[in-house]
Amino acid sequence: MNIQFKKGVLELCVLSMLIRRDQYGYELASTLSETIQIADGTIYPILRKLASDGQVTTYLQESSEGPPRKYYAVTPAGRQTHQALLAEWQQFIQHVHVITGGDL
Amino acid sequence: MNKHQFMNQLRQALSPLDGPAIAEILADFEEHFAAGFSRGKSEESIAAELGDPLEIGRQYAEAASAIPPAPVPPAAAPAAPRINEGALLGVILLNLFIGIPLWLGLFAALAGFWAGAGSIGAAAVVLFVLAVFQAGVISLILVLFAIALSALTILSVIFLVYLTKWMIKGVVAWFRWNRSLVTGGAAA
Repeated sequence: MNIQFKKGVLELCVLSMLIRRDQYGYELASTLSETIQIADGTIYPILRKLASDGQVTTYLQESSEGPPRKYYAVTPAGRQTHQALLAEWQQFIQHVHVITGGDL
Repeated sequence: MNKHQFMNQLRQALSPLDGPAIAEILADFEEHFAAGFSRGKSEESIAAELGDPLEIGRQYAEAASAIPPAPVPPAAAPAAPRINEGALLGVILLNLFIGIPLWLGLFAALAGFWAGAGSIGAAAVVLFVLAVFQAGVISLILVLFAIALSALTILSVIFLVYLTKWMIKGVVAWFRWNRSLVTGGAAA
């Protein structure tokens, strides 16, 4: 599948998860790799890009079980991007449904 | 692959990036390993789940090179014809001394030819009319002359239609050539 497309979908997934609550890298990576079977490492370049684009911010928070963790939080710009990506995605899967459902 | 090997390969793959960025990214992966350890995972399984460090590094390098979203120079696409002032002056002089006199002369000649063809046609009509008022051999001679002049008129008109078309094409080509000189050949 088109790498740009996959990255766009992963961005949508990451933003969706961060809208629910702030999370650190390992959490995001393990949730994604469990559900859509991507390599854990794929998530970090995307997080860095989202941060440099101002879609997410980061902050450090102490952890009971080791060094402080870098948490990611979605920004207002990130929420807007999420809305746009979500609309695109829904339109896309709707078209795929029409085609696979044999209506075309 | 253990953590040390993973981090080394990742560091190598990140070498196109600047120092602070490399340090930040490596810290993220240190944290990832630490979080995995706290869940009781081994170095090897964490590294395996992370994937190929070279591929991850390539993704960072790719994103970093794309980060200044290369502003496409907008001037390039809707290319306004660039006027070359020197060529413009040359073309003006060329037209003033050669182009305009040449084309005016040619079109004056063309108008003359059309007038000539018209005169021949008019003469043919006059001869036909005269023939009506004459009798015998003279009438026959006048009719024959009139027919000959009519044929000449038709041939002239056919020739002049083509000549006029060629000249119009010639003027258009001349203007195009002038424009391409001024705009440096950019204009189609």
